[in-house]
Amino acid sequence: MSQPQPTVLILEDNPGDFFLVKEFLKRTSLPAYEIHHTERVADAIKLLQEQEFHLILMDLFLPDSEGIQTFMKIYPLAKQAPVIVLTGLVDEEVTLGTLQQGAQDYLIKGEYDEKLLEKTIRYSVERKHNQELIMRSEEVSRKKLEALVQERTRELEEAIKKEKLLVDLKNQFVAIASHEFRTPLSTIRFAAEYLHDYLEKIDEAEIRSKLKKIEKQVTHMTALLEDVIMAGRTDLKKILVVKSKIELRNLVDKIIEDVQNSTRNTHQIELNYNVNSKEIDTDEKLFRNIFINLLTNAIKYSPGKESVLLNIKEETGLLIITVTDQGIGISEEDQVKLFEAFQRGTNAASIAGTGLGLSIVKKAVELLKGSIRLQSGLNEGTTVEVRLPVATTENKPA
Amino acid sequence: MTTRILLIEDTEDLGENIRDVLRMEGFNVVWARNGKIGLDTYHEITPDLIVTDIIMPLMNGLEVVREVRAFEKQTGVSPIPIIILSAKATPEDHAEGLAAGANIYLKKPCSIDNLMNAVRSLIAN
Repeated sequence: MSQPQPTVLILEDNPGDFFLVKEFLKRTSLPAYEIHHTERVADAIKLLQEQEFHLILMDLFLPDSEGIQTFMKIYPLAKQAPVIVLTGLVDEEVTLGTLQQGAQDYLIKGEYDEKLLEKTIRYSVERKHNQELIMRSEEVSRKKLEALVQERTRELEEAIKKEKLLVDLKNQFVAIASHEFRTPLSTIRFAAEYLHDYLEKIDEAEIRSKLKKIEKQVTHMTALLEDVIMAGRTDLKKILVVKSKIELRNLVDKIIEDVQNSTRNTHQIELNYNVNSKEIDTDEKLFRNIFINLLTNAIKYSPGKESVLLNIKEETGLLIITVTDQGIGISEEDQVKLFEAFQRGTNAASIAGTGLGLSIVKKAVELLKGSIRLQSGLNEGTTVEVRLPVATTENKPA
Repeated sequence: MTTRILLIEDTEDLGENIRDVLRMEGFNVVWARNGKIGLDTYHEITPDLIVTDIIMPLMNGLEVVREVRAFEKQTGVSPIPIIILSAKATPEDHAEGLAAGANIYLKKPCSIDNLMNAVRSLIAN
């Protein structure tokens, strides 16, 4: 690729000096410069505004400007062109001033020849080029630094957002704990005070019955705490999934019995079971958690109804579990946040609950590499579908 | 004549405990396990006092209190004392309970003494 012819701007009002520099320039082995010549700074400024030059050679004492001022008018317009000052012997102080301000070099009139001119130009061009490179790399470094600062700022913002989420979670927990812990605490307090206040009046059977209630409520509150801890865990990778072979039908029957007992048999759980595999490979605790939460929810949120449906079928390596109720349903707005901890349907205020159940189900389903979907309409009931792999790959903790 | 108390509470073990305490203190207790049954029972037995929970399915305690007060106003029968015993524990909850028409608002967990003081202060009037 051929380079365009380089251009030089020469500011020189003395015809003799201009002639000399032009002649010397011709005799160098530098590429042939296209020479532009002016005698006045005003003309030079005009030229510099019109085009870029590759080199500027300038006298400092011109008809319309003198000394360092001349240089200061030209230099800001020179852009990438190195500026070499042509000076008389007497102007040393001024000349050194121009070097401090950015001139690449100077030549003393009458004391230079084509060789010195060539060397000076070569060095000046080279130095200017290097300066440009340094400036550009500084620009790059600055941009890198800016990007780094932006990245760091974003990280901080995210950390703050996470922190705020935790604070929200904490506040919600305090509010929910107030509700959900007060009822079992109430049962425990009445039972304990009953034993204390009326001990002489009651028989052993009644004492045992009250003690049993206290134990049961302690278990209930402990389970509630476990739920809160599970819901508060954000790093699922650290939760150990312990798989074993489970006889599916037995487990399902047992869970149904447990749920019906704990909900005082208000609803019939109708089971539709269509699974070929006798055993499945899963984490029993997580698996139970999913079923118990979904079935209890279905019953809790369909007060006055008689039954809920539990459908379990097997399809190409997948266990498809659907739980359907005819309850109060969940509005579309509420569905958006329903899988988040402490979120409850706005129509659920008169039904006790923590808002933790579905968030825990979702986590359990994710740990078992499954998926969950929910379909619901206000006062039309809710269907939750969970798909779990029958034989999953090992999930090792990170 | 034994004072008859209508207890409305949906939590099984707690309801049983409150019923046992009230019986031990010499009251006749009828226990309804949700707000809807509670309101029906109120009309059936005309109790001397009501102790009700708030958070219950089908009909909550506040609705029961409002229904009872509305019925009393409509028919001109003299208002009966009502105690709310609830896990809703904020000052706003308290104010809402009294605004609905309850005479005393107790928050869970309350002591037997708290409950009996409330019952006796209302029966004495």
